[in-house]
Amino acid sequence: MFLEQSYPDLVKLWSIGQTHEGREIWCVKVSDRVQLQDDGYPGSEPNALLVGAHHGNEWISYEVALYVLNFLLQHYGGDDENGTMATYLVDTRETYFVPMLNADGVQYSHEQERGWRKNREPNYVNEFGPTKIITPDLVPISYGVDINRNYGWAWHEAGGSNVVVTSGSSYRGPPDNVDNDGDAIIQIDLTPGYLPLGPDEGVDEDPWDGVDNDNDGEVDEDPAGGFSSLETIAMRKLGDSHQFPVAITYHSYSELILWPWGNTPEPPRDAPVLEKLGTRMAEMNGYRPMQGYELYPVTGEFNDWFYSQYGTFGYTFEVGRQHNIPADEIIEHCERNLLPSLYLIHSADNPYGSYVRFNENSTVCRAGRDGMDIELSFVDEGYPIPWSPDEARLHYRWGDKPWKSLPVTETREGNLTAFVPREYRDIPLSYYFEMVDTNGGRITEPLYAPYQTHVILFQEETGIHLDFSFGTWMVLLFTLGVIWGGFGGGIVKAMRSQRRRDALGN
Amino acid sequence: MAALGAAIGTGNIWRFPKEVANNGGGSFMIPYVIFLFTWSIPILLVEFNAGKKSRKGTMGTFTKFLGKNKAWMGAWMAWISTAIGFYYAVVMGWTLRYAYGSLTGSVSFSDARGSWESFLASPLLVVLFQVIAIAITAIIVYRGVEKGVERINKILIPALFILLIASMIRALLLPGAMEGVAYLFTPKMDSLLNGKTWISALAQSAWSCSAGMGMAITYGAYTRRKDDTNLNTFLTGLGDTTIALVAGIMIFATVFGMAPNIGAAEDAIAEGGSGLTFIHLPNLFGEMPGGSLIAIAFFLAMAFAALTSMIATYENAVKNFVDAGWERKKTIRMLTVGMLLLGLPSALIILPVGADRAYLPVFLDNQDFVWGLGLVVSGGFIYYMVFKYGITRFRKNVINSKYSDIKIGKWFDVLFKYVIPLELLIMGGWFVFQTITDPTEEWWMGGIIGFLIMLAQWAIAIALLIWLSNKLKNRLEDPEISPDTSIDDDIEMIENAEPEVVYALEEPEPA
Repeated sequence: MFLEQSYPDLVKLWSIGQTHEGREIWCVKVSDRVQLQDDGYPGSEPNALLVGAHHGNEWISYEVALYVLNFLLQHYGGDDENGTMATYLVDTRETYFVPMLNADGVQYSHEQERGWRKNREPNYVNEFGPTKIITPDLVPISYGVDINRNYGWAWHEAGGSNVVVTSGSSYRGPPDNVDNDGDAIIQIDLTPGYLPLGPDEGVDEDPWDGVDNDNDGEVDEDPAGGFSSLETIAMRKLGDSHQFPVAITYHSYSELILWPWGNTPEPPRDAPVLEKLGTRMAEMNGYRPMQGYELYPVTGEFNDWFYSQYGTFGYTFEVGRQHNIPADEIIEHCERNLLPSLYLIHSADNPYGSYVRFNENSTVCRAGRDGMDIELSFVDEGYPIPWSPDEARLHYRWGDKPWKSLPVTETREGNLTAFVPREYRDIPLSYYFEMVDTNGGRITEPLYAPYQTHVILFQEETGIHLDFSFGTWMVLLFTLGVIWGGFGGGIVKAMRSQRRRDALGN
Repeated sequence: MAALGAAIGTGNIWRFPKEVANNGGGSFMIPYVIFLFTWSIPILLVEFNAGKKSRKGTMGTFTKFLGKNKAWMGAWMAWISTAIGFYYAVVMGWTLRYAYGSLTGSVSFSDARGSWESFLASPLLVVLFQVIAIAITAIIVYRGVEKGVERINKILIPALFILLIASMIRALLLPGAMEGVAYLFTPKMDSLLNGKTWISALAQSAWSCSAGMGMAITYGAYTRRKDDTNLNTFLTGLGDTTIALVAGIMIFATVFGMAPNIGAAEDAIAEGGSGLTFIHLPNLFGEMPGGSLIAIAFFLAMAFAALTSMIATYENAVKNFVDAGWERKKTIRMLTVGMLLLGLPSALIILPVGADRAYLPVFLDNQDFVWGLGLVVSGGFIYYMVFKYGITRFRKNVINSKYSDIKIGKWFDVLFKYVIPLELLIMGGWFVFQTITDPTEEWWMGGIIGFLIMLAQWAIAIALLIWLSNKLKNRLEDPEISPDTSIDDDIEMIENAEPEVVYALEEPEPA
């Protein structure tokens, strides 16, 4: 709320739900024109979602999220490189922060039990196991559901969570036991104590796994569980109402960057892109990138849900090497994860852009007398390059003159090159490349163009360069030799004659 | 020295770079040097020595060699240089304006185009500087050949050399200047094999050296019989070309060193003429470190070059009238008034023309075109004169004398028997062809309309000149000097007639 007052044009704050203990789950949206519902229509600014504190004991997770939030606001409008990035991302993206999803768990972790991971809802178990039907005779046998096992995707699969041990730190929550599609073999009220029907009887027979398990032509229409907790319900509503191309959920610890799937070793459909994007972010913070499953199997997980349902390229950042990060190291961890976070927010525009990978010094300028060749090179990753050079352009401007653009050509090495004619002297030239990939997405180099550009100044070559060709030398020497030589020789001869005449007294 | 001054004009400075650029750089240089020796210098040689022999201006010289019915040919030559002089005074006024403007900083170089067009559009200023140009020339000529012309040329021509060489050195130190030099001298095979390149080189050489304008005849008339004219002819041709090269290198180096890119540099040079001299170059001077000094040097050099040519033009015309018995000072006064009046149309007819409605001195350009081509005709007259007299005989009688610093060999006969008639035919034919087929928008200096306008002006001029010659020709006859005697005979005859003057008759040592 303080931020909303400080940056009324950039920040919007609202609650997307309440926790079990009644705390608000705050969502902060950062963008220019923040009050506009700028979402979902063509040309609208792409969204990114950054979530902290799925787990109560992972305190660093909300610190990082808040740090990114703070960075965008503090550096907005700045002149330096940070300002450029922040301004670009605020002006062209809509970034949603849910920094404190599990407020109850964090509170509990702070005040009662440092290692508390889950939320604080009571768990009930009847004779059939965990249940969400609470009869008066039931008393909570433990507290807390692991929010990051309570999303829908693959919730039903075994091995990725605590299924029946409600006190387990990865307890997934109670099963659904609802005939969501109305195809159960008997229709009965779900009265307390009633033996729950199973998949064989037409209840929870088509869980969230992308497969039509019951061969009825509909997919995932009768899930087995998940979204029993208020926090996941809130997140699902957020996901349903906004299009998030990218998301990050911060966790601790292990120094990893994980992407879907978490429940299976099968690579996801977009594996090359997810991997590329994840790898590039990992290069920025030095973490190890991998598909979630490679670490350990998880079910009902945030990224899997968002990826499966909304196509969101979601990443888990496992921050740090321990949960207990000393206060004076917090900033260090935040800073380390800032750049990859910003990069992912940037990628919201076009996650496929990460296919194209530019070299460290990606552009080479060869300045000539007339102008200069600017060549853009990229690392050959062995992937098909998903953009066509025909649509690539070089944008440039002299000083603060208007922008111009030029088509580029492809060199034999596959680099892109364009020739910028020289129009002015002694004013810097700013430029960036822009490409359109096969998905219609925009790729620029540098990343934050045109907020960020390459800038060079023509260097005047000094000194005299007599690197003429043979023919030029021949003509030059012939002409100057005959004319200047002849003239000089003639003058000498004339002076001699004059002297002789003078000697003759004439 | 004076003949060199006559030859060096603004043509060296503003026409040469344009011709080079339009004809493939270095490819132009080779024919240009060749034609210097096979056209310009031989023609000048004839003019110089014919004047020395006849002691007369152009009309008197033609009368001497071809009889009085051919006096109009000489009149034509004098008329051409005078007609050029009418507008040349205007151009000289421009260069004075810019030399003055550079000195005082009153010409804005940052908006060179604006400055130029606003100057052209203010008739009072243009005429004022035209008057100043004519006045300076008239005063110098009024003082006489010895006291005025020779003396001022002794100052102006070295000054011109120094100013241009200083500008050239400054320009060569610009980054990228060497690309201009390379452009100037790099031959292109296709241009070298193109006939147009050769014809342009011939025309430029003739134009630049003033071969065919009759000025050399006039200066020849002022030399003493024992003076050398042969070496001086070579010095005139070579000196003129030397200046052209210095100016060319300076301009190419400046334009390539200062223009934002080679395309802009090529455009500026190819435009040539007043656009190059008064718009592009000032623009570049304005941006160049030390450019204001170079601007002063450059425009002063231009003004000097124009002045020496103007002086020669004046002399050329005056001499003919003096030959006919007019009083020199009276002639100069009348000529000055005529210069001013007949130059006014060139100064004042400035019309916005062409696609970009640029202000152009239309009448001046037309005059430049009409009388510039007249040089070909003059060249023909010179050839006719030598041919009638006998080529070898002309060489032995008129050109070579005991007192010549260098002797002209048989190569002269070969040139006049074969090479020059061929050049004359080709160049004349090409001019007509080129003019008629020129699809230029500038109808006043090209195309069929331009050609007809040119012919009409020529016809009027020739008719008037024949009439004038008929009035004057009887006064031009000078029975004292026979055309058939050699210069050495003349000297002997004079020395015998005036025995009180003792000459050393020893054969000069071969140098």
